[in-house]
Amino acid sequence: MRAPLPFSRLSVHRKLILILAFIVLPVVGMMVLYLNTLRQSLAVQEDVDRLLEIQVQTGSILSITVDIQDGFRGFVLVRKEKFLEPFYTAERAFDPAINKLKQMVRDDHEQLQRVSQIEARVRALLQRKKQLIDAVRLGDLRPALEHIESGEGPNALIAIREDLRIFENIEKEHLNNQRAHAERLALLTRYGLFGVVIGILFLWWLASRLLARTIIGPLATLTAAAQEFGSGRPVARIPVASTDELGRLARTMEEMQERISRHISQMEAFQAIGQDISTIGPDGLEGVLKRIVETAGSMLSVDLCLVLLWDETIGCWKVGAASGHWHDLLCRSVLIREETPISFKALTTGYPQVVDDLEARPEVVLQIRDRLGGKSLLAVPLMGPKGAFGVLTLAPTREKRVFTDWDVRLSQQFADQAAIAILNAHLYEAAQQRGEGLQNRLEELERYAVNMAHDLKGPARRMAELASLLHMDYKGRFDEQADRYLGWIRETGQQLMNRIEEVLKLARIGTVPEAVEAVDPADVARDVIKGCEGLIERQGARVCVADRFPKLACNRVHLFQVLDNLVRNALQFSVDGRPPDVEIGVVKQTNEIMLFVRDNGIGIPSSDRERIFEPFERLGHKNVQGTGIGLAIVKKIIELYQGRVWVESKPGEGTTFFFTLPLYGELAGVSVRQERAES
Amino acid sequence: MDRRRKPILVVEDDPLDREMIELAFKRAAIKSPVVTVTDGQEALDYLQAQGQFRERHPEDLPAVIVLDLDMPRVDGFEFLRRVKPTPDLAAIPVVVLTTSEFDNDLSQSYALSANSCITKPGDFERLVEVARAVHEYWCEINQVPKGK
Repeated sequence: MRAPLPFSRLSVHRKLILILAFIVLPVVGMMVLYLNTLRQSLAVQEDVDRLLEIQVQTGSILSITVDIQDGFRGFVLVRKEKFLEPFYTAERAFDPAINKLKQMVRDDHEQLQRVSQIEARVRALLQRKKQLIDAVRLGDLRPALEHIESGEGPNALIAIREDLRIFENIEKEHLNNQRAHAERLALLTRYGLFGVVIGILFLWWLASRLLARTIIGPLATLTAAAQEFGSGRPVARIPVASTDELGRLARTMEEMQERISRHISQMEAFQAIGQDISTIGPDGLEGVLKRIVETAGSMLSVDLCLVLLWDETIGCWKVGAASGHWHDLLCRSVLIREETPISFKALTTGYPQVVDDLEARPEVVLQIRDRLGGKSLLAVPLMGPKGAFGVLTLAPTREKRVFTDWDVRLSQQFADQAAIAILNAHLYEAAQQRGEGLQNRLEELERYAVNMAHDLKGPARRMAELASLLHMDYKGRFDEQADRYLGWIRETGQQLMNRIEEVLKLARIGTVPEAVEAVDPADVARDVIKGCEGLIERQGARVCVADRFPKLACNRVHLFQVLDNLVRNALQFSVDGRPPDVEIGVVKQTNEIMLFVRDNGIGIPSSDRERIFEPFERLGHKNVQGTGIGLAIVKKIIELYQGRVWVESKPGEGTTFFFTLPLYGELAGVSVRQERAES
Repeated sequence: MDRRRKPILVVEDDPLDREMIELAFKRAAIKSPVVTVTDGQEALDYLQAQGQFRERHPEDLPAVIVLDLDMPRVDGFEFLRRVKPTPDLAAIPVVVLTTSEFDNDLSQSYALSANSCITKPGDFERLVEVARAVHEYWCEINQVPKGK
């Protein structure tokens, strides 16, 4: 199959005809042979029939001559007319018989001559006998008797008989020849038939081989290749070498596979590209635009690629990005609509515009051609939710380029992705700016609040001091009510100061780097209890601390603040007439420590469990001492360590605050500075 | 007492605070005179007997300086920075009396050799107690080198 036979150069049509000929021709040959044999045997049969007929005729001619002889003899001997009857009958029968015989051998010249000779002899005999009969009738018997005695009659008879015999023999011989020929032919036909059958079988085998090799085989190969390709494994070379239709089909299929493979890989690359271009990096929208032009350029092998963004307000293009060295030259420059009619058409119609040869329209001003040297142009609209907002313009500058349908479709797909990427980048940037603005604003507000608190602290303190001075110096000089009011002013000033102090404390958490150390919560808890001694005594409370705590990695003061706030909370929010029972304990989990402070106090309704961590939320218990900021401080400290704080409570039965802090060991030896302090 | 009582120098920019502190010392019934100045610069002038204090008695170096931190011109830290390295003045105890509870401010004060730090109490009674304690400790108990 590698060296193509002359056969394989034929078209499938010719091959089929040839193969059919292989099958049909031997059959035809056999039929011809058979018919020939049949014809031969028929000819022999005819000859036999003719011979028989000839024998009949020769027999009748012989009997005619005998009758002539006998009739003559009888008449001469008895001289009765009656004996001449056979003579005349024979004479009448002779003409038809001899004519028939002539007729039968009309094609054989020699035999015809012989028949003529016999005829002549018989006619001569007849003539002679008639003369003699006439003489006898006239009474002259003598010539007749002389004739009889001379034996002339039998001699003529013998001669005629001899002639007939020769004639007959020749015919017989002829027939025998024919027979022998027919027999040979029959034999030949027998062998011939055998040979033909063998030949037919061989030719059929050959035909089936050829069919298999040149048509069915390649078809199977093609089918297999198609199946392979269908299951995602393109065959680079389909092993069909012939130059016929199947060969051409194989080549076409190879081309098709290659093209489809190429397109698939383009599509795959395209997908990756899609992700790549839509990734919004630190370079923001500009980066996205730049990646779009570079990718589009390399994907379609076009050196000049522009993203033109339509500016509604000024009615002009703004170059969003340009590929390669054009970027610095063109980015953010403005192109006039009238000088970029093709791109503008793409923008207004929303369909890609292709011009294979820009030179062909010299009368039109084309910036892309005149200023940038573009040879061809493909302008693809970038579609937004409200129609096209820009155009991706591809213009090879080195040589003209015929953009295929596939190119156009691919670039349209790409442009759709690019449009989404651009819009996303827009949104992202806008959101980013808004977010940054918000963040800045928040930070500013926070700073402002801290400064204000700081500034308020002095006047508050002074007011409290003045009130207390007044209270000291002028107590008793006014009436009782004035004294009480003065006392309130003093107290309120004090509260105001404390509250401001707490706010500043809350604001300060995390702003100053605090040393993280291994802290034993038991030690800290003891310090806390010591600090609350007065309160505990007043309330008749019981505070118990778990025996063993794992060490925590945090700042000691932070843990103190957390426990202090929670314990004070637990002591303060107690049920009237039920002495507070507070427990500080620990639940160790895999990688973090969960501490809890449990009390038997008034509890917190579930609706308030989030709000309690907000500053100044002291829900419905205004009579309780405190600034309302304690839990906010707890939350802020715990979150500084990426921990969690939450509360479980049954109103009327008690509350448990849980919080998590990192276990010492993870952070061992690492000096942790809080994020904000470093920034 | 023949010996002249050394004054207490109060450095405070806020006039109300200044008056309150002065009053508190008075209420504490202490005998030492109280000199008030409005900022660090004036305090330096006083110590070095220059400017408006050119005429002051040479023996009137303060027994203790009560110093606010947040002041215009020369603030408390700057004052400490200038006074403490001066050999003649280093031994004069400086008590920082401030509204600030920031650890930073306290640490920095001590780093600049402040002798004591007290938070303004926000209650006149407490302020009187503070004044009494300051006087008692720094003027009566505390010993400083006897200069000329």
